[in-house]
Amino acid sequence: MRFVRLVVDHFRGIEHAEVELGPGLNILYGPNDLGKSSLAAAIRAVLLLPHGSSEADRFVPWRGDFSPEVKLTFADADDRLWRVTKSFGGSRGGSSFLESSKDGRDFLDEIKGREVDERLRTMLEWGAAPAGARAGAPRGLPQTFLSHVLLAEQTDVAAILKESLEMDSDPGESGRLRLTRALQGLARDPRFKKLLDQAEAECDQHFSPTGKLKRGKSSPMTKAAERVTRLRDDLDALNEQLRATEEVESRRRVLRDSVGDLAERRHEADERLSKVRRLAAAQHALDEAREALRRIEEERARVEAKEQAVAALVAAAAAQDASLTEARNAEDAARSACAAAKEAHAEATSEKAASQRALKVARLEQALAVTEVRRGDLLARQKAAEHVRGCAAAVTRLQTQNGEIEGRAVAARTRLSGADRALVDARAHREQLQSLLSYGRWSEAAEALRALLLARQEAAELKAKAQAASQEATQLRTAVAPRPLPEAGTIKALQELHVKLERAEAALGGGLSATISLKKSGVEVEVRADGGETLRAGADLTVDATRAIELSIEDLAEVRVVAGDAENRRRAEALRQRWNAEAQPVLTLAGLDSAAALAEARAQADGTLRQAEQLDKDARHDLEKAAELESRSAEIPKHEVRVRELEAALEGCDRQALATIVKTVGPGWESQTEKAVKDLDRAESNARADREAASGELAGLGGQIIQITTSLAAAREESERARAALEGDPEVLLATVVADMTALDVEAGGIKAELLALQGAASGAVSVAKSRMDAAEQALSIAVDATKASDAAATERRSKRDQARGELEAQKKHAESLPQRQAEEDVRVQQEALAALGSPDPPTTEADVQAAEKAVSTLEAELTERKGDLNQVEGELLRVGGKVARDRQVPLQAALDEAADRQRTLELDAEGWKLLRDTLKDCEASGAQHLGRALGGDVARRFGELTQGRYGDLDMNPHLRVQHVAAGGGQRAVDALSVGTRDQLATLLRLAIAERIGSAIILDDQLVQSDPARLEWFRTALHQAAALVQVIVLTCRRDDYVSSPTGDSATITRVNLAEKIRRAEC
Amino acid sequence: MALTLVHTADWHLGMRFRGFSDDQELELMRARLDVVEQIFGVADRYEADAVLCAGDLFDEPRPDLKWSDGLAGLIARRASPHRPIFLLPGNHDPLLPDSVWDPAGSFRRKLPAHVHVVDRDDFTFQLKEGAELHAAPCRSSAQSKDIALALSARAPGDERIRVGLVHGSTFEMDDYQTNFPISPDAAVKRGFDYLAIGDTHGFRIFPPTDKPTVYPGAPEATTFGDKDPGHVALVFITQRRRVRVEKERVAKWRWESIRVESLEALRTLAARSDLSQRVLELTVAASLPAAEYEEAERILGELAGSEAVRPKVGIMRCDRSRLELDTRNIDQLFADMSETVLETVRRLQDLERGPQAEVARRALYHLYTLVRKVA
Repeated sequence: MRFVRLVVDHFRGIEHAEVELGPGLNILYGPNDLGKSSLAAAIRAVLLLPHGSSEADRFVPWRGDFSPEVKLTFADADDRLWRVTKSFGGSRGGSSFLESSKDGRDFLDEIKGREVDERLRTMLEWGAAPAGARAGAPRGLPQTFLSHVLLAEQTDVAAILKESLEMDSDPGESGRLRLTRALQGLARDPRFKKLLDQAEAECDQHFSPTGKLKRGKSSPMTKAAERVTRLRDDLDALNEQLRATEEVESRRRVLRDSVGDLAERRHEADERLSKVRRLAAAQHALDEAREALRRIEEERARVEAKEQAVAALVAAAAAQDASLTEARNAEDAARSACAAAKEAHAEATSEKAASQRALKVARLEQALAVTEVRRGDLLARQKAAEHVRGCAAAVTRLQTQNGEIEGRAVAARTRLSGADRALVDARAHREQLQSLLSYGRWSEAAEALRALLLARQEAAELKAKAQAASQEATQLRTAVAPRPLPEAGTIKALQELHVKLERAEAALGGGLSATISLKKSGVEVEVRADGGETLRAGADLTVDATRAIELSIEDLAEVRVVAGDAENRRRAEALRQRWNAEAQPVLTLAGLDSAAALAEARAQADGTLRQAEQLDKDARHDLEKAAELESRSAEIPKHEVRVRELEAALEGCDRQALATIVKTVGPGWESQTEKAVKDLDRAESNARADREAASGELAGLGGQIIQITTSLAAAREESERARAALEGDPEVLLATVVADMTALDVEAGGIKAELLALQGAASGAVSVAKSRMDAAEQALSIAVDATKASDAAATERRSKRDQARGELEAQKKHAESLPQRQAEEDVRVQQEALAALGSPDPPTTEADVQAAEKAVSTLEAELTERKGDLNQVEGELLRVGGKVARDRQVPLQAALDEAADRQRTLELDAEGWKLLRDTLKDCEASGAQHLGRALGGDVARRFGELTQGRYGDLDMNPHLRVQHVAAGGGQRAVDALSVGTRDQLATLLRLAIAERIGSAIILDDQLVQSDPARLEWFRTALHQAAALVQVIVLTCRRDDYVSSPTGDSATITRVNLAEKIRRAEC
Repeated sequence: MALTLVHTADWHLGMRFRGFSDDQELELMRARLDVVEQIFGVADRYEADAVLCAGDLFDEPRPDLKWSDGLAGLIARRASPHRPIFLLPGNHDPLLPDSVWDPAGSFRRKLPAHVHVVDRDDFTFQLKEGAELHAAPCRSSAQSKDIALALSARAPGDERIRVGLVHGSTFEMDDYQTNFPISPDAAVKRGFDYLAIGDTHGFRIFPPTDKPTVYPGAPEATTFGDKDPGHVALVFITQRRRVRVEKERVAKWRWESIRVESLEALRTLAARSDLSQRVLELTVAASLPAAEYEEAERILGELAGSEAVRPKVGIMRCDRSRLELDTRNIDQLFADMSETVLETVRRLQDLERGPQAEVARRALYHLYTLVRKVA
C-alpha cells in the first residue's frame, strides 16, 4: 500500500492541508507546531477510527464548529486506487465513504458508513478486530502492532520495542497472518528462493497442480510406463510361446524317453525270444534225436518181437505138423478102429470079444481122463496169455493219459512263469512309483517344514520387535512421567492469562526517564529499569524505562517511579497476582518458565504418548501375528518326523531323476502316480490270480501224474511179471493152445467113439457091433476130416511161418540199416547244446516261445504307438517358437528390466523433487512461524551495520517482541540501550516490517536522538527502503534526509508543509 | 581347380534391440544391413567363387518390407553378378508359405538371377566344375531332425569337392535337440569337405580339420553375451580337397560389458580412446559422496552424450541402479546455507532412516545439485 494524496480539513490546529505523495521517499518538512504530527494522526484516524467514535473529539478544531474531515487516496498492492473520506462528528455523528478508481481521476462509490471501516480492516490486515468482535477491547482508535509499526506516533518512538502481536485484538489474527505470509518470503534469502523456484519448476514438470504425476502423452513418465507395458505385453506373448515350446519339448522328452525305454525293452524281449527260440530249437533237436533213437530202438524191438513171433509160428507150424501127424495117426487109428469094429462086428458074436471089449473100455476111459487134464492145462495157458495181452493194453492206455496230463502241466507252468515275471516287473515298477511318491511327498513336506521354520523364525523376530517396541513405549512414558503437566485446556487458559498480563503490562508503558546527578562524590547509586539488571553508578547517569525505575542511594533512600495510570497498574497487578497464583505453581512444578514452554512441553508429551501408544499398538499387532505363526510352528516336530521318514524312504534313490520326473509331470504328479500304483495293483492282482490258478492246476495235475505214474508202474510190473510167467510170445502161445485144443478134441472124440463102440459091444448085439462099426466109420470120417483140417491148418501155419520169416528178414535188414550210434551221438550232442544254453527247468516249450513272441509283439505295438505319438509331437514342434523364442526372451527380459528401472528412476527422481520442494516449503513455513527468528536476522544485520558491530543478534520472540540484544559477549535488555539507539533500533524494526509487508510507513521525527554518523547511515537505509516501499518522513530538519549520499534525488518527494498546511488562526 | 568361399550367417535383419533407446535401436538395426555391404566387399577382395549365407538372414520369416527391400536393393547394387549367392532359410526365417522366401513375393522377385534361395530339401548346385554345393532349408522354427544327415552322401569314387550348407545346432549346444540338431560327424558321414552352418552368433570351427564344420557367427553382434561375433569365414579348398578357414572381421561395433565400482574406474573408462565404436553395457555400482557422485554423473553424461554433445561411447546402456549417493556427511556441503536449507537437509537425512530412504536420498542429491547450480 502507498499513500497518494491527503486532504485534511478542520483537524486539530489545521484548517486545511493538501499533500500529494510520491511512491518512494517522501520528506515532509516544516517547522515545529506546523501540524506535521496532526497529519500523521489524520491518516491513522481516516484508516482506523470509526467516524462516530468519541475519540474523534480529540481531533476537533481548536476554533470553529467544524467536524474534522480527512480524505486519503491510496493504492493497494495491485495499484488500484482507493479514496476514503471520513467526517468525524464524534457524538454528533459523521460520515464515511470509500471510492475506487482505475485512473486516479474518476472515482466510483464503493461503500459508505460503518461498512467502510470493515472493508478497510480487511484490506489493511493490521490486526484490528472487526466491529462486532470488539467487546472488551479498548474503545477508540484500534491499537494494533502493525498500526504502531507503520503509523507510530512521535511521542514514543521506541515503544514498538515493547509491543508485539499479542496486543492485537483481532481473533482472526489478520496481522499475524499477514506478517507470517510476508516473512515466509523473508526466509528466502536469494539463494533459497532460487532453490525453491528450481525445485518448484522441476515439480511442475513432473506433477499436476493436484500433486499427481503427470501422465500426459509427452510426459517422460508416460513414455516410460508405456514402454514398460509394451515390453511386458511382448514378453508375456513370448513367454506364452515359450510355454507352448517347453510343453511340446517336455512331451517330446517324455515320449522320446518312453520310446527309448520301449525300444530297450523290446530289444530285451527280442533277445529273450531269441534265447527261448534257441532253447526251444535245442530242445526240439534233442527231442528229435531222442525220437529218432527211440524209433530205431523200437524197430529193433519189433525185429525181436518178430523173431519171437516167427519162432512161435515155427513152433505152431511144428505143433500143427505134429497135430497133423497125430491126426493122421488118429485117422490111421480110426481106420484101424473101423477095421477093428468091423472085425468086432464080426466077432460080436463071441464072448472073447466081450471080455476084450471090457478091458479096452477101461483103457479108453483112462485115455479120455488124460485128455481132460490136458484140456485144463491148455485153458490155463490160454488165460495166462490173454492176461499178458490185457496188461500191455493197460500200460499203453496209461501212457497215453500220462502224455495228455504232462502237456497240460507244461501249459500251466508257462502261465505260472509268465505270472511270476509280471509280478517281478510289477514289484520293480512299484518300487519306482513308491520312490516317486516318497520323493514328491518328501519334497512337499520339506517345503512345508521350511515354511514353518521360517514362520517360527519370523515369530521370534516379531516377538523381539514387539518387546523392543514395548520397552521403547515404556521408556517414552517414563520420560514423560516426571514432568507433571496440566491439561491442554488449563494451558490454554494460562496462555490467555499471560497474553492479558503482557498487554496489561504493555499498557503501563509510559516512557520514564530518570537523570541522576550526584552532587557528592563517592556516593553510589543502584538503578534498575523495568526490573532489569541493576546498574551501579558512581557518576551522573540517565536511565530510560517503560514501566518502572528503581533507585537505591546507598542506605539513604530508595525511590521507585512507575509509569501508567492507577487503573492500568491495578489491572496489571491483579493479573500478575493471578499469574503468580495460578500459573507460577504449575510452571514451577513443571520446571518451565513460560506458558508457551508449557504448551510446547504439553504438545511434546502428547506426541510422545501418542508415539508410545502407537508402539504398544504395533507391539500388540506383532505379538498377535507372532502367536499365530507360533501356533503354526507347533506342527514343526510332526513335519520333521514326516520329513525324516520320507527321507529314509528315499535312501538310495536318485533324487535328481525323481525331481525331474515330478517336474516333468507337473502339478498332477501325485494323482497320476497314485493312479499308476492302482493300475499296478490291478495288474499285480491279475498276475497273482493267474499264478494261483496255474499253481492250482499244476498241483491237481501233479496228483494225477503221480497216480497215473503209480498205476503205470504197477501195470508195467504186472505186465512184466505176467510176461515172465508166460513162456514165449502170448500170441504164439494162444495160437499153439488153439491148435493143441483142436488136436485134443480130435483125440478125445476118438477115445469117446472107441469107448462108445466098446460100450455098444458090451450091450452086445450085432447091431451094436454094427453101430460101433458105424461109429468107427463115423470116427474115421471125423478123423479124416480132422486130418484134412489139420493138414490145412498145418499148411496155413507153415505159410504164415514162411511169410513171417520173410518179413523178419526184411525187418532185420531194415533195422540193421538204421544209424543207432549216430542217433545216440546226436542225442548226446543236443543234450550238451541244451546244457550250454542253460538247461532251463522246466524245459523250454513252445508255449514259452509263444509267450516270448507275444511279449515282443506287445512291445512292438506299444513302441509303434509311442513312435506315432513322438512323430505327432515333433510335428507340433514345427509350429512352436523353439529356440527362436528362447533367443528373444533374454534380451526382451533385459529390456523390460531396463525399462522398469528407467521408470522407477524417473519416478524416484520426480518423487525426490517433490519431497525436496515440500521439505523446503515446510522448513520455510516453520521458520516463518517464529516471526522473531524470521525477522530478527535481517534487523540484527542492519543494526550491526549501523552500530559498526557493537551489537549483534537480536532476540525476538515469536510475537515480534524484542527481548534482548547481543552486546559485549552477553544479552542486554533493550532498556539498557540509550534512547537514541533504541529509537534507531525501533526505526530499523519498523522499516524491516514495512518492507516485508510492502506497506507505506510514516516516520514522525524518529531519529532526533541520532548522531550525524548514524543519521548518515540511516539516510542510505531510507533510500534503500524507499526503493521497496513508500517512506514518509515528517521532520522539522529537512537536511537530515535530503542530502542523499548517492546524489540520486529523483526518487525523493520533498514537500514543504509550510506551503501545504493552512493553520487555523488562533 | 581351387574354390574360395565366403561363408556368413545370422544377419538377423530387422532384429529389435528393445533394451536401447529408440535412436540407438535404429542405429543397431541399420548396422545389421550395413555390414552386408562389408561382406560383399570381402567377397570382392578375395575374389570368392560364391557367398554362402547359412540362415537367419532375417530375424523373422515375414520381416518388414524395409529390411527385405533394403537387402534386395543392396544385393542388386553391390553384389557381383558373376558370383553366386546362396540364401538359406534358418530357424528364425524358415521357409514358410507367405514368408519372405515366397517365390512370388516382393523379395524373391527383386533378387538378381545369381542369387539362389535354398528352397528345396535336395538343393544342389555346381559351384565350379568339380565342386558341388548341397543344401537344405529350415521349414519351421523348431525341429528335431538332423538336416545335415538328410543330405545325400558322397558316392563311392566321387572325388569332387562337396560343400554342405544347413542351419542348426551342434550337439554341445543347449536345446540342440529341438533346434535342428547337427551331428558332429555329419560332414564325415556325408562326405562333405566343408559343412557351412549357421545359428550360433560366435565364430566356431569343429573338427576334423580336413572336413570342418564351421559357424561364421553373426557379422554384427546381437547381444552382449555373443562370443567372438563380427566375422565371416573365408574358406579356401584346394584341388586336392585341402581346406583352410580364415576368420575375417567385418563388424562395425564391438559389444562390451563393464562394471565399475569406483570413481577412479569410471575415470579410467572415460579416458579410453576406443569407445566410439563400442556398444557398451555399463553397470555402475558405487556409493559416492556428493562431490564424487556429481563427477560420476558428469562422466556418465559425457559418455552417453546429449542432444547437443556427441557421446564418447558409440552406443551405451547404463545401469545406474547401484550408483548411490553417500549422504553421511552431506550436511557439511550446505554449511554456508541458510538455516532453512540446513533444516531441510536435517529432515531429509531423518527421512533417509525410514521407509522413504531412497526418495530422501534422491531429494538430497537434487538439493546438492541445485545448491551447486545456484552457487
